[in-house]
Amino acid sequence: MVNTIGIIGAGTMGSGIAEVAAAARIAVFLNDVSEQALAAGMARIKASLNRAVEKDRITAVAATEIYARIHPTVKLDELQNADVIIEAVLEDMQTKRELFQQLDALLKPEALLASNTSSLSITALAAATGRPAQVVGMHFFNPPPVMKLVEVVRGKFTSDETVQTGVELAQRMGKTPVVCLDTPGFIVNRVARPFYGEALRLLGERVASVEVIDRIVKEEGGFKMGPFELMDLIGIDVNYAVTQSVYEQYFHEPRFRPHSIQRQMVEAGTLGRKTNKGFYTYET
Amino acid sequence: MPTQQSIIILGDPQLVGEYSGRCVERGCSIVHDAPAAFALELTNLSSERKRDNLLRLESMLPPSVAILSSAVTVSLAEQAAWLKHPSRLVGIGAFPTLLQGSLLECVTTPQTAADVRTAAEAFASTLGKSAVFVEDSVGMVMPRILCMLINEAYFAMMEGVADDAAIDTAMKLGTNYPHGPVEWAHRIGLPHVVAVLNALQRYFGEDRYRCAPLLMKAAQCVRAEG
Repeated sequence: MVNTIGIIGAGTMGSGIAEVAAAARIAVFLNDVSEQALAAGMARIKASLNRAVEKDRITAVAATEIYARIHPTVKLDELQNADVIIEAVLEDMQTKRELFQQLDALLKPEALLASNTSSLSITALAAATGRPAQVVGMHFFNPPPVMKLVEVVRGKFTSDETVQTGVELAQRMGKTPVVCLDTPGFIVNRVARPFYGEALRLLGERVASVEVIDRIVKEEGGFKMGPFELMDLIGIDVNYAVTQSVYEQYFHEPRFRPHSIQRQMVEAGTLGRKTNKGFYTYET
Repeated sequence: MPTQQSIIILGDPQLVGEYSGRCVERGCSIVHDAPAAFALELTNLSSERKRDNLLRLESMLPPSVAILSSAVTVSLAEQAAWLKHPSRLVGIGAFPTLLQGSLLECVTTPQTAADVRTAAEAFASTLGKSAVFVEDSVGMVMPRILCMLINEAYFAMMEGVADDAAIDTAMKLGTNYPHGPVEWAHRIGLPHVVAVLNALQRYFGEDRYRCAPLLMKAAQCVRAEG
């Protein structure tokens, strides 16, 4: 039974996961190396809970209880009694490996180490620890309080028991878990690549304009958002990085090839909504 | 523009069924020989059958009668080269499951007559849709994107990443797709998906568009079952 979760990294994903866990009545320790990042993370959670109260999704009392269930700390030691750790730190293998090695020494032997990584190998992370059977991916989607999916990633050494714990934990957090193998992009980031990749090819080949392609995908295909407006929303740089990651990890499989249009836009600093200009232009 | 919407519809059975049904709902009458206001040629699965049908329509109908032909697996340019009067030819993006949308992709060649282009717009309107013109390109827009999404799902299944139900759930919940790619593929009909991918691979000459073997085999099972 998972009584306490330690979450490492108080960024958008870490703080979002903390909020979801706390809302599921699980005790949460939220850790970050930076006091500032921690404060920002807690503020993000508070704002999110306030919005939920305003929209009558939860009561003010519930919001207070949820917030109180999250214990922020810069001291990694305070997480030593956690049953499960979910890390959402910088998307860098070295950083994550070192963190997992620290945790391996700190946590009780039965504790699980979960990673929210979207692009790094769970198997490789597991190999850096003394408990590879207890290392699993738990990949949440942005923003965690809203998106129901969690990809539970089975590394090469991950035990069935660990996978099952991950699945049950995700369910307890109100999410729909889907188990998958530790392959580049897992399911969503891999299968979604052609949505953007073919759209960019169509644009580059001058088959249709940005607006027409988005319109066709929505009004003919029934998608909520077209590929270009979605890239603007996610961030053209973020999307480009994911594409590059899958492309590299599959040794340049042509289906995953990034496009010069997106590289040029990243180099020009037109990254989408966050820079008020991407495939579309946005009012400030 | 003739007001009597009598239409000849030839093509793959699935598309003929979809389009006939919608046309009749919208007040058109389906006829099997001249006279007709215009003709639809909806073959995507076989270039040879498409050519045979187009030549048959050419022999049945006077040159002034427009032919609206799906240009999803054969470019309109290639089709135009088969005809004596290519000015009568306009392309539409007929592909299973897309009829329920509110747009109809259309393409022209430089030879397409202005009134034939207008006939495509009018036909879209008859179906309750808007015509959107894109450049003549195998796969057009939606069929190409959709079939490549489905193809990627099949590559993932081939690698054992997850099963069909998991992939469908993941794409609906993780990125809000209206349908999972695998269930969508079955609703389209696997041979139609394979036909688009094979056509893209031929048209571009790129490995990028090669059909996942798992998808090809599954499509062959469908064909074997009838």
